[in-house]
Amino acid sequence: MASVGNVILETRALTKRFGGLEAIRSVDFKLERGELRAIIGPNGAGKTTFVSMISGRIRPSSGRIFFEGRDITKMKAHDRAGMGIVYTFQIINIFRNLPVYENVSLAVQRRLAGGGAGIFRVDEEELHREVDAILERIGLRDVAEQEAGSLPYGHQRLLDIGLALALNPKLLILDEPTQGLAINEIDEVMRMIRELHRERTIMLIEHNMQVVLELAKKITVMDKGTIIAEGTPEEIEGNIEVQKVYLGL
Amino acid sequence: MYVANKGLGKALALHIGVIAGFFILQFIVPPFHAAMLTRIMVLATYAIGYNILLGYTGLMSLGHAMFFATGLYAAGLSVIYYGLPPLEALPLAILLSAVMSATMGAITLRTSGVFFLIVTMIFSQVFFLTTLYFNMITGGEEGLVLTRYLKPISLGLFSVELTDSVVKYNFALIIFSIAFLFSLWLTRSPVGRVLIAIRENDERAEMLGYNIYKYKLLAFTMSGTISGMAGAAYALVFAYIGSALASILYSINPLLWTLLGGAGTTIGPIIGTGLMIYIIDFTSGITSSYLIVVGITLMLLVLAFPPGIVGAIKRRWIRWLP
Ligand SMILES: Nc1ncnc2c1ncn2[C@@H]1O[C@H](COP(=O)(O)OP(=O)(O)O)[C@@H](O)[C@H]1O
Ligand SMILES: [Mg+2]
Repeated sequence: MASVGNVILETRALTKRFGGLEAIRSVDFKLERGELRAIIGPNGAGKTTFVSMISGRIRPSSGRIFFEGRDITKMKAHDRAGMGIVYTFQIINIFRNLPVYENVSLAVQRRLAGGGAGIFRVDEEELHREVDAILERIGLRDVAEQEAGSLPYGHQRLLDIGLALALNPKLLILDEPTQGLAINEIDEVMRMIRELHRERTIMLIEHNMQVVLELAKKITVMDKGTIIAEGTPEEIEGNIEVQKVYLGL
Repeated sequence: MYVANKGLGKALALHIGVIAGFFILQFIVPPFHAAMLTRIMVLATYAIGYNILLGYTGLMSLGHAMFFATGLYAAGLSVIYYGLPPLEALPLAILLSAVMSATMGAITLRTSGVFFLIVTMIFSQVFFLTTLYFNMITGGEEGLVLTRYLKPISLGLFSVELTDSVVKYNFALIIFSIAFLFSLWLTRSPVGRVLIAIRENDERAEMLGYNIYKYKLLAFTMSGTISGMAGAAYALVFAYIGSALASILYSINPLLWTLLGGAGTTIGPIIGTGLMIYIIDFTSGITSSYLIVVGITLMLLVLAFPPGIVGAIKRRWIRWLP
């Protein structure tokens, strides 16, 4: 596990309004390097909106975001991905009409070439080696030639996470990666998350409490656009507030 | 195991085969068809340029006539007014097309979807009207003939005349080959890979860290520059420049040719252009009937045959086609 200690990500008074709806209300949040933080909360709590602002997919209405001490509030999504903040969508998002191999190539190429003119001289040998290694790691080497959209759902999810992994992120944000998966597929994804966590910081939005309790040492609970509790799994389980809104008691 | 460069040998052989085929045809076909093929090679170059944006990046422009015409007028006017020899007018025209398309791309790519379609069309119409407005210089609708201004092309020991039909044919072939091989290279290059990714799913491409706008601008500029090169070749080969070549019809044409042959394939635009030009010739040269043929073909394509000819072949039989 990477050393826990310094703050890798921080948000200050982060707010997002959609018209009249305040989806995120002045959220202060800190994440330490090396953590595997679970974010839970009922549907519509604002989890996706929150991490979308961190990844740069949507702009905050107000507030600030710091990554490794740097203010990235105004930075574009693609630049954030380049500097190590990588997001996987809640709904599987891959290049469905392209072969699995091409999907992974695109991610690996971005890391090897950087964002600029490096794209004109990518080392194809190295690219091939790295793509192969990723395919091996996500267990899709045998279906490399298949169109990604034709894979079973669980494999598509693994590919989706594989694309993120291929970017070698510093902070990986997984938005409900086990949603819609069968039990054996969930195990597979959990194994992968655990493995990924050895090298990097992870934010995991997750509904499946079993997955959360097994993976995370610290949990953040959101409801109605705010953080209502934060702590160890035991602390969260014992929290009255959480029991009220989240466990429906 | 997956091999990354699989199909490259076959693809390269196919492309060189097409070029060799065009080269050999000039010794076989009668003069009428040689002239048709010359025309097809020049206009297919235009379609190849258009296809980079439509087929490989997924952006549909209705304003490419402005780039075709930029090349056309840059080459034609510099030959007429400044006496530039063809081989100096050509690079000048390509350079101006590059500047023009980079500028237009920077503006129009702020929009997307149907707005992109409309904005490109509007700018192109402004360009078209400008060529009419300055008819004292451009010759307007009637146009200008370059024949007596065209200097010979010097090739070291000897020189050739662009008025000679054999020279026309091979000049067109060289221009065509450059564009054709460029498109093959592009589709297999890292840049082309990203363009295809943007076509397929721009949201995901962005979250992989690619600056979508920059790549689109690059594609737009490459597309416009090749279109301009085709326009310049048109002026030099057919020794004519005129506003009709800047009109909306010349924005629709490459779209039609590309869709017919198969957008997103390197061979498609050539098949589409060739077929359409022969169809138009069969249905003979009345302008109104021409528009009807264009209209019907477009409708049939969109409704019944979206992948185009080569697109369908690629899907069904030859998956390695680039
Ligand atoms: N693009 C949007 N436009 C308007 N409302 C949105 C948009 N995205 C999310 N919302 C609203 O914001 C709230 C939070 O949504 P979301 O972040 O998706 O919650 P969660 O991921 O926790 O289920 C919901 O009420 C949702 O309807
Ligand atoms: Mg969500």
